Amino acid sequence: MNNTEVSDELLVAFLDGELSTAEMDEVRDQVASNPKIQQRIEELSAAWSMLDHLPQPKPSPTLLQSTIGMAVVSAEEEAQQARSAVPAKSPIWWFVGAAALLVATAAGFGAVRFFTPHPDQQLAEDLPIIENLDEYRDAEDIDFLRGLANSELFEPDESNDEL
Amino acid sequence: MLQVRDGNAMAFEELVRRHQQRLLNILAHLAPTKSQAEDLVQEVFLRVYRSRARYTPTAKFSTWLYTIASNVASNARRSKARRKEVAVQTSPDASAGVSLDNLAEAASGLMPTRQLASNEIGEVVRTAIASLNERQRMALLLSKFEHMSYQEIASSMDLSIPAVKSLLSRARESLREILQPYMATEERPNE
Repeated sequence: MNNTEVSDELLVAFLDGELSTAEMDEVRDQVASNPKIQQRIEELSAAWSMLDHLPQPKPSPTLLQSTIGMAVVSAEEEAQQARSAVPAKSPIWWFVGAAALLVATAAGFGAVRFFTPHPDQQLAEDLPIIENLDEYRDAEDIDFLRGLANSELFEPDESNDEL
Repeated sequence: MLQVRDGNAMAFEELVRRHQQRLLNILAHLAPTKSQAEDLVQEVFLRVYRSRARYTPTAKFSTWLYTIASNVASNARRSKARRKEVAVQTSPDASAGVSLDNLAEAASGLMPTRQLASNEIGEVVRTAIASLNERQRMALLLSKFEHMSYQEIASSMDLSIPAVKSLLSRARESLREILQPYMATEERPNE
């Protein structure tokens, strides 16, 4: 293997430790046996090391605070959006809701009427008794009264019609 | 970041404090000025904050952070191109005394080299970095200063691993060519 067979890509990956074990061994052998490859490796390493001289600008003293401030503003905007994000119901949904409410009200009213007797209804049913309450009080035995009602004692008398 | 996701404001402040220098180290070489680089840093953190609810720890936080940084830097570059602003300067300010022409002359052997001071080497290297395209610069800086693997760089930059290999190879070869005349004159940083 000569100089051109070991590409820069392979050498860079070798320096970055990104080769397989077998590939690392192969490149290592080439570096050891080929002075030109060794020189390229050294120059690539040297250029890499020179990056340590790159200026590293310090953040401005206000960078942290202004960044936090921007985050606070963002949080407030999110909260505002959440508050105003109540879904805007279209008119059709208002009608549907109103109709459902009406039906529910009617059903409830009907159920109450059906299952809850009218207070006056009881009075109406009891009216015959109320009208003759004095007589019923004088009767001592309700069974006796029933027996009288079922007897023929109070059938219409046809003979009196001739008088 | 999980605490930030859960609404801890102090955690977000700590996150910014820990990462702003590192972010600036990267973005300072992708933006024309330090001021614009700091704007990009803020934009990155703002996006981190706004997307906090969607954060899931499926990868290292730094990989996610630099994915956002890569997007922010790309968007800024595209936006600038659309506005036809001044292109990224290819030569540093005159006070540094270093330009790409100087570097080219040095590489050609036409300019005598001399012992360079550390700050001068810094300017030389900064100019050399500026001569790379943005993707090469980003990959190189993530590899060098964030010690990212090829896989992590690929994730951050939305590239394949072979593409990252190619980017880094070209970037480092370009650096080697440009900086070769200065390698013999390099002063070691204070050890």
